[in-house]
Amino acid sequence: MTARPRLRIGAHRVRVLLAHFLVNLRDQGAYVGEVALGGGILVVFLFILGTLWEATYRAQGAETLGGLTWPQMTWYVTFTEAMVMSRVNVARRIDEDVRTGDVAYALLRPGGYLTSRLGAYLAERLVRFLFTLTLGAIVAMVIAGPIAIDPSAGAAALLVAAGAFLLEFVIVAGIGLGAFWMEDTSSIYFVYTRVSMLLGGLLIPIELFPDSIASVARILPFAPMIHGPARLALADDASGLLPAMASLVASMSVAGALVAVTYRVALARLTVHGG
Amino acid sequence: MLRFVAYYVGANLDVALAYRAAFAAKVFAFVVSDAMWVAFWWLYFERFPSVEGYGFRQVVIVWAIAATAFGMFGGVAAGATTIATRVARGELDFYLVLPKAPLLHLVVSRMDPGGFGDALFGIVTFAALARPSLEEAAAFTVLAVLATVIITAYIVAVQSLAFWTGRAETIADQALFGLITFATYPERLFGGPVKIVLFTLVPAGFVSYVPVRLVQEWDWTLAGALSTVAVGATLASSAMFRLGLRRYQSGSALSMRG
Repeated sequence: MTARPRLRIGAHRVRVLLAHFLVNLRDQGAYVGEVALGGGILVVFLFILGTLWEATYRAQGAETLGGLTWPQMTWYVTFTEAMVMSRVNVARRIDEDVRTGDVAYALLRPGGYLTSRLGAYLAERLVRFLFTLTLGAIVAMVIAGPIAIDPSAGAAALLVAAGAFLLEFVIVAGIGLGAFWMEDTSSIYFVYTRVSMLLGGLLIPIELFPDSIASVARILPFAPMIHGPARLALADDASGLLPAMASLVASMSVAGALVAVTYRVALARLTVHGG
Repeated sequence: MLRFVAYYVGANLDVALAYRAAFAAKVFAFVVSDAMWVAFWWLYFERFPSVEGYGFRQVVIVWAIAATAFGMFGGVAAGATTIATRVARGELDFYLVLPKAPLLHLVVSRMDPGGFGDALFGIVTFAALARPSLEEAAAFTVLAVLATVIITAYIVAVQSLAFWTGRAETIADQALFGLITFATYPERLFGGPVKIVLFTLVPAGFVSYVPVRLVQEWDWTLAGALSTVAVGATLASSAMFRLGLRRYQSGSALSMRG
């Protein structure tokens, strides 16, 4: 069987996406233990990074580094960790669907395969993000104390974070679709998480990178997904919203086009045996 | 015993190499992952010359020792990470009837191909970035082996908690994660009660901090103490496993082993 790929976005597809999102949102209660495990890891990371940055500010005798005070740096790392630790490995699920042939059955459902995967991804990502951000905020409060966050900047940061979730889905779905050609895509996903961690500014803000590396990092899609929302949350106002969204849209356009082509080619290769 | 372990490692490697592309991809992924962490430290030290007396070379040695030791653990003794699951499922029967000690069989029964990536990264990074003297290289080799022994003993002990608690996968995963994380940051960042924890409950001090000190400045007394810790930890974790085994209940599951 071969299937005709459909990637159009219409009202019907949005309704299906919303339905998948809501159903999966209700299911998230079943995975509380796994999310809590990630919470323990987050606490360890934030403790170590808070200690590292405290030692750095002390050694430098500096009030600010990269435009951030030490408490702001701790909150910056908290936000970037929330972005990274709330990741959902959609690539593995798509990889499994391709190998088991489940992708063929999912294609027959309303809205198509990627719509159902996107709905499930957004529900899981949202729950993980809110959990890690809340827990991280508590840890940051203990380590560095509270900081003033401008409400409009905070709201803008959440908006950019939502855009970042969508961009990451596109990129990671592209990795998962690699299963049509490759023996194993888990290694590619693993490399993606590590490269994005470094060049996205997870541990060290891009403002503190050497100029040559910073200019490369600003071109790649990782910084808009990790550094972008975290830096916006600590800004004095929401004026950084438009540039941050523009970066996301630019990255989304390139990644989306590549994944759309990959999806079409992949489905044209799809062959189902038996029933 | 060494010949027995070598045979198992060879057999595990044959199995892993049955999927050559996947094996190579995993090794590559682990090398890249480790490289990203060292790259983070490079970025850091490009901006700040030192932290708590540590410079880039010291952090490279931290990473080289930790990556090599955890890599050797993954390549040789990854079976230790399956003890809790096997106890919970009552799947130890197969190992109990074998002529060699069941714990040794269990520990070497699995291999994590990513371990080869870690070990490869650790050795190459040490040679290329730390540019060690001959003495430092010799110390590195011995200390990486001792660190591997301590990691294995620690994981066996934590996984063996399953004999008493029923399930211990989560706490064992957290323990391994905590050990890896703390072992890859400079020792002097941590003080007070945290440091006590790092030489007891989460022995990153013995896995990384003491070996790093010894690579930089050899001290026979400290080396002797570390060796004693390695032997003591091995004996203690083996005793804990044997003690736990008395509480083990078979799942009576029938399974085929190919």
